[in-house]
Amino acid sequence: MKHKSIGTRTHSARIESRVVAPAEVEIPPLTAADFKDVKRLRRVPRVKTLRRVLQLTQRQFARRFQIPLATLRDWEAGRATPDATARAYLQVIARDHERIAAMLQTSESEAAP
Amino acid sequence: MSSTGPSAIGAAHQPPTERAARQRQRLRLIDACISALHIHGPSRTTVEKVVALADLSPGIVRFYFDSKDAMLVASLVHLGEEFEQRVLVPVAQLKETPERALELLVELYLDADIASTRKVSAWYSFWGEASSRQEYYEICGRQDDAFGALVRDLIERMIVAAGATHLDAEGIALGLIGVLEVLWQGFAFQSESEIDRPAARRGAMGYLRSVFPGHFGAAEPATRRAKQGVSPAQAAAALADPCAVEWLDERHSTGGQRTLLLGRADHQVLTVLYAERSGRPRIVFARRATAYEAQVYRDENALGAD
Repeated sequence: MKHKSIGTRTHSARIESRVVAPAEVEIPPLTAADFKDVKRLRRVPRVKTLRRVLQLTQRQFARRFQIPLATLRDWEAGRATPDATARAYLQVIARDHERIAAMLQTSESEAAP
Repeated sequence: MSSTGPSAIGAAHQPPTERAARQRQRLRLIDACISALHIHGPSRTTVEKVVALADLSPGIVRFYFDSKDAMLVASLVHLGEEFEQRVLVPVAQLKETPERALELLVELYLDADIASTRKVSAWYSFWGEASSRQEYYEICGRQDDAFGALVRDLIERMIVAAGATHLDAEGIALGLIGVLEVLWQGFAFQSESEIDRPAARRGAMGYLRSVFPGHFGAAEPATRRAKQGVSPAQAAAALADPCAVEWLDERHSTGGQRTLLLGRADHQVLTVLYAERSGRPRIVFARRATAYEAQVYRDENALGAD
């Protein structure tokens, strides 16, 4: 299976170019207590953030990085958390997603008859 | 004006135009000598290198200076006199408030003409050899004493003017001298185009403002923005960081769902609050991350971390 393109656009161009904020929305310095209390800050699963940045649908992301779609959905919904190996894999994707995608693509086409 | 070498002999008998021409040529040599000191340092500065920079013939140097050493000392004396005339005298003569005098001191001390990379680096090259050269030590030391005395006097008057008699004048003067010295040292190692003089001035004024709250004007808005706020482009870059870490902000129920993000933009971690509107992120607020937040970001991105 060949993908059309592995290039990704970023969000930057589409973000409204305005950082004007009324004083009440200023973010006070965050503390360890903020990060620990889910009633204050609830962690977004890493893969969901990564997918938003790469602007891929769940299906596209799963296919490109060869992650079972059901597993990806479970991670994003919080029904499951990635184990250490998967976490390391997601870290590596975050650091250089284009190369990872290219390597997987190459290995796929090599494997093809 | 002290004169070194034979130029002083019979100067009174020379026509004024000739004397002026001699003076210009002497200054040209000194200026070239300062450039040579900046490039080569005192021990590797030679008469040949100086005349080449000045575009004059080697014989000319002998006319003005007995030796290479005399030329170097004349250059150091010139730097000292220039500093005195352009910085110390105007500040000491300013009869206004000590607040205004200190502002002027900072401005002149960091002035592009006085604190150029070339001159500052030549000045420090003399200081570097002052331990072994008594003459350098005396000239440099005299200069520093005069400057130190002026700063202490101004700080003492400032303490009285501000009614802050609990402050230690000696310590605060030392602090200001240290701040200015460190900025000069930065200049010596930067090229002229890299030097950010407004930032240097803001840094020095920030010190004075911290010691004397309510004086030395309020921080300029630009300063605060540089400290805290970030440009829309930077915030957008942080949002597009694949290594970004996000939390749903549950602290505020009003205004819809907001996401808090720690992301990198231009080698610094930013803290961004954004709302999603019709699938597009809309930045609500962005600032530089605190040290703790930046640590959280790094921890989250350390391979093998939980």
